[in-house]
Amino acid sequence: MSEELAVRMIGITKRFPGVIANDNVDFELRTGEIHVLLGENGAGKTTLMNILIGLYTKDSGEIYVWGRKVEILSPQDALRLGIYMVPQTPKLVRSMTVLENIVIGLKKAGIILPTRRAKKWIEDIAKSYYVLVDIDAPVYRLSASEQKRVEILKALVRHAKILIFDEITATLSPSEKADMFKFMRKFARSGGSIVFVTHKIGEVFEIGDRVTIMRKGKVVGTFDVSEVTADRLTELMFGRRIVVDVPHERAIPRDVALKVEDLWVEDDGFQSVRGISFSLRFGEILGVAGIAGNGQRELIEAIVGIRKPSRGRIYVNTNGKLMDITDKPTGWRIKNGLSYIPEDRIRYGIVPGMSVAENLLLGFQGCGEIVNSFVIRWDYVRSWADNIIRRYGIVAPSVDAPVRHLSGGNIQKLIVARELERKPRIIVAFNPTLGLDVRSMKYVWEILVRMKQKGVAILLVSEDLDEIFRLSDRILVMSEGEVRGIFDREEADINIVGRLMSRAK
Amino acid sequence: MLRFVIRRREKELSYAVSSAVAILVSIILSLLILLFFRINPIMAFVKGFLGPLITLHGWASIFYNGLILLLCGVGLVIAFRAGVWNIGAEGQLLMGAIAATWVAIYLIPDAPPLVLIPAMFALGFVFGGLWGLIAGILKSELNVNEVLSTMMLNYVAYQLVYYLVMGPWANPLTNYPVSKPFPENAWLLRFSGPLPISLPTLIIGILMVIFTHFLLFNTKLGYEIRAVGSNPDAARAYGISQQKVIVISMFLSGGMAGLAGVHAVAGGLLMPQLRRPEQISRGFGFIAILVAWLAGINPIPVIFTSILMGLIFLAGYVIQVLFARGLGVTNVFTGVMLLVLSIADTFRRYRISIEFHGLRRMRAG
Repeated sequence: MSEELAVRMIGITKRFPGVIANDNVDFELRTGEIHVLLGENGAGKTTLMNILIGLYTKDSGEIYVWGRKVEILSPQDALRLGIYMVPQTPKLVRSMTVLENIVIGLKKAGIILPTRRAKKWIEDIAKSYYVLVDIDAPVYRLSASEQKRVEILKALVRHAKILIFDEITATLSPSEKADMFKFMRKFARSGGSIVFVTHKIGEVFEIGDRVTIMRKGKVVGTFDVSEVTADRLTELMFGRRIVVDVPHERAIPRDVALKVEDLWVEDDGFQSVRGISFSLRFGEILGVAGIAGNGQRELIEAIVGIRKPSRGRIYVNTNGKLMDITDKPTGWRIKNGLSYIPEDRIRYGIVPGMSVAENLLLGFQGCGEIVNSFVIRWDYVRSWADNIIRRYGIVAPSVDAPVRHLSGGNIQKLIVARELERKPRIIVAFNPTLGLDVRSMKYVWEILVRMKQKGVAILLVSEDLDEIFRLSDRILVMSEGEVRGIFDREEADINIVGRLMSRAK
Repeated sequence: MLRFVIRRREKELSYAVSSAVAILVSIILSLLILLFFRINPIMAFVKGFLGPLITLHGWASIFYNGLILLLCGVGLVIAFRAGVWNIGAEGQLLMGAIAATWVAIYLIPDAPPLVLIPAMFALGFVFGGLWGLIAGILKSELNVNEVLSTMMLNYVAYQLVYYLVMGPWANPLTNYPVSKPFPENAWLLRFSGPLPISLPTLIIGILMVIFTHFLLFNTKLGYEIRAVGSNPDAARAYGISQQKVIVISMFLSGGMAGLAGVHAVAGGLLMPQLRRPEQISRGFGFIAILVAWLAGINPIPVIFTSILMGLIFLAGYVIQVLFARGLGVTNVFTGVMLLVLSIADTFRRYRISIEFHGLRRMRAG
């Protein structure tokens, strides 16, 4: 029984503009197993699972479920085959009760919702799988973990046989996590199959029967959990250290450019950054290594001035002295030598509806040569922009073309060009090469190194460990909003850093 | 299995195309709806749409409506460009009307027209602008949804006009809820060319269109307005103050609606005086949303879409009077147009096709 394949995906390929999210991926899920799908952010795990549940259509490849070849075009198709994904953030109607949420769209529940029989039936299912939740409570009163249980109940009631959990443990407390794992084992014992998507290596050993590791859109190995070690997984997940082909020379210690002192930053009531302190010197790249969602975004937004820290101070070197800029607005910081290369380049880096020239203008709209007492000198701007796109090799039809028509790599080049044109003294770069092809990636790396050699201070926050190790002079490891360690690059070991990153406290 | 597939167009259709199609389709649909009330749609079209075009009075009415819509519409272009959904042009217009009445009857009734008329427009702008500013500040400081606040401020302005014409500003010589008539120096139609069209409003209207175009596309502030409206996250990340943009755009937007209010009370064929609110603006502040939208949220095309909507509004009114007493024909027209226009906007950006997946699966299997 256990050798029978629940799911078999063969040669799955999925391209997005500028990126191959899944590159000829093979994946097998046996009946009755808990299969961990391990990888960094952007490795292609979620894309693969979205193809399996019909949210994305694959470009090529074949899918077999219970040995039969299938085309899954929508989540409804997937559910008919018994496949259900428990989403990262529950998708429930908050004003309705748990019971109402579960029976929505269920034919069996009858026309008048919800019948007493339906209620009894659901309660029985809940009890037999240890999924305990008050089914008459309105959803808005439930905690995040209870809402996840409701999602599981929805799946069970719909007779799902293959469950996909995408980063399910992110917001769970240890005891809630234990409950969740208890349910998973029970579900697998009674013949169900589970794909457990995660980037935490520790969880592989806690819950997995087998593990498949993905890196940069490809599967790099599948193992029985009993046959593999944490070090081996780290190496597969983050890749071997390749000889650095970007010129690297040890930075000469200079003055402190940016100093962060006991910084606490909140996101939606949650302390995402918890007492971080570090200093960054001119002519140095400080790499911040960490897995997505461990407070990096909030840290950066506080430094750039988009988010107010709840505690702590930020200092910047101005005219040789450290100045407290914690309360200065973003515009002031940009004018005083701070450049920002944001993570989500479409959302934070550009204004998609505007032209190339208008996007290069972002943050420059107050500068003397460009604005003549409130009026923008478009002739000047257009020749200035034309000069920039030529110097930085940005491929664009013209400076008047809408920026959204540019490729991802060229959009990033445009952002980098704009930020360098500010003549910055400090650059904050957040995942600057995420999703870029190799050539654009090398281009961005070379520019960052060149700026460093010119004495610019660079804070490089990246989920790509390879990038961190190639470029940084020092490496700060961040996890759960705290500093887990700061290493000189020469003494840093990728396995130790990797483990510090993915180790929950 | 049959399914609709919606794909983003590589190149969006232009607003000129989608708006023209939308106007045509909605006029045809609206006329067809008249069939349900046993009204001959061809007759209705001839009388309603062609009728006004062959009389002087018709043109006067088209432009009277059109100029109100032009001023409200161009103001809304600024707000919409900033990503602020100002639904309150109606109330801002009424505040402009109040300002005009105050200036003309109480503040400087004896001033010569060269002083009086600019003063009416100036104060109309300020009143309308301040009315918009209330919603702007509520949004920028307290994050109050501007759709709700501007909507509710409409009712406040509405009641304020009612109070004035029934109470302190009521004309003692009549029982109708109206103010005293404006002094003749304040009658905008005294300054018209061969057609009975208010020249002062026409000039101000064109100036506002040019001003708005220049503001949006040639100034630092306009750049910031467009950046915030199109991607507030990126604008914030590079130091553009969203608060400032919201407040200023609401003030300008309301101010222009205020100008429309001055014209609405002082620029028509009726005796210039403050009247009941529904007689000052028959929903122009809402129709102006269509005007701005038909223009693709661009100032210059507002000149055409506002006059066109002026005609459509008048046509609805004529048909209502001639064929269908008691039926809100203008409401049918604008309602249908709103619906068609939202659909047209989807077609403008997306290509919609039908695919048969079942066949492909059969072939593959």
